[in-house]
Amino acid sequence: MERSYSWKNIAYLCADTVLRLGLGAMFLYSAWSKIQDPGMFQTMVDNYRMLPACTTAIFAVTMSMAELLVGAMFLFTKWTREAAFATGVMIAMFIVALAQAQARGLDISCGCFGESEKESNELVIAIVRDVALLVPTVWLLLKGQRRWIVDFGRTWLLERR
Amino acid sequence: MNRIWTFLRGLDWRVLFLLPALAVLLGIANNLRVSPDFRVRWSGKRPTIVNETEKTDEDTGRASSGERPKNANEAETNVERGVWTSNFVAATNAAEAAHLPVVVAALLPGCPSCVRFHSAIDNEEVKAWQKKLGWYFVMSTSSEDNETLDFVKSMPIRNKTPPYVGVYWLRPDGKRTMRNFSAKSGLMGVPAESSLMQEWMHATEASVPGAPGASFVLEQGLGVQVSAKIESKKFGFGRVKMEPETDVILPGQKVVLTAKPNNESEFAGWRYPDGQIVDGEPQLTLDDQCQPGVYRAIFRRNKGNKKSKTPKADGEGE
Repeated sequence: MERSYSWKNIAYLCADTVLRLGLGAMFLYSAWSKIQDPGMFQTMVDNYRMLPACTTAIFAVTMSMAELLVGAMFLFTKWTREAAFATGVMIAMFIVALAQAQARGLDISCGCFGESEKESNELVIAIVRDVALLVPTVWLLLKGQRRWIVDFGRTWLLERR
Repeated sequence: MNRIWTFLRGLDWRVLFLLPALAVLLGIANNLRVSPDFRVRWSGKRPTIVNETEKTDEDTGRASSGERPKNANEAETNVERGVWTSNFVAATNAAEAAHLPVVVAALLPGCPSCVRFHSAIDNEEVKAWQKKLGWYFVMSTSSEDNETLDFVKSMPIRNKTPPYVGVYWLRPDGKRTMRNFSAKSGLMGVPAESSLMQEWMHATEASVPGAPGASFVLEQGLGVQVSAKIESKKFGFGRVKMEPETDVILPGQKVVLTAKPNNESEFAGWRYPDGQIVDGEPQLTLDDQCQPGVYRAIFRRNKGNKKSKTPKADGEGE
């Protein structure tokens, strides 16, 4: 039986690959600085004044590693949708934290990528960025393919009948 | 609803449950891997605020100097050296009052409002201070703040021409590291006592004849940070009050700690941060030369008071 390539499948494959690369790399980058300095990240978490002081330590060590694992899942595993689900949960948490900090007028650094940023309205920027990140995350959650990121085999390209 | 449920069932929940568990384990392992200076504070205690009451023995009487009197309860306040950067104005005022040609900025973790100044180079307010005072005030909460780092690298320290900039990290335990110069410069985690830091300090010190050097700045020049909140909670035997309530003891200023025993106890002395116990008045005057650390007022049970036989009076605390 002759089968032809589906442009729709090719487009999905490209989008899937690009978004996974982007999100994965971003999470790895984000996690890296936090992993190097968990104490600093704890301080940043603490600055949000959202969690009880006794929980910031475990949150800091866990969140940085969760970001690393999610980034690795995007890049090195087949669990695209699971990674997208975890990403969505984390981004939702970030948005809530940023929004409450902004609402309370906390003069803090986002700490999203470990290092501080110098924009005066960086919390708002971070919220907008996180909301924007939800778009590819939801797309991957709904349309993500359970495949290795380097798997461009015919299975994915051929039109399904 | 069915579609959502079907979709969720399509996810591999073993992976999603394994992810946080693995994150916790790896996170803890990573925390053990990094240098102690970079580890999290498991106590979760926010810096500078001290609020604790120690339990005591049943016996009465005072121990020798340096030891904690038995059957005593202590109320305390916390005094730290450095700049309390959550109050930027206080910090800059302190530096101005000390007529410092060199400023070493210190950051306290957990400071919610200091982070705005992390890249203070382009901050107009800081520029104004710089122009007014003739020094730079640069802070960073980031361990990889390239902009700050580049700025510091560009400073003419080797030419021995002021102004100079240093960025310290003052940890809650009083330990100081240069972590904010950090990663790219290879100075990450360099303690203030290291030869590299000493060289830097000496270069700074030598550059301004008769002026306090960086070490002086660090130790004395910016006054003494006093616990931002005065502990007014009732302790087992009494409490400590601070007057005037201030964030920073500026050079020349004095702060009076007053120990107030309750009806069941009497004042027994002060325990200094170095552990030394000093008899004296319930009022203790501190200035910017005082020892940094926790000052504890010691109260002991009033023997003549029958109520003092209650467990609470024996130092259980409240």
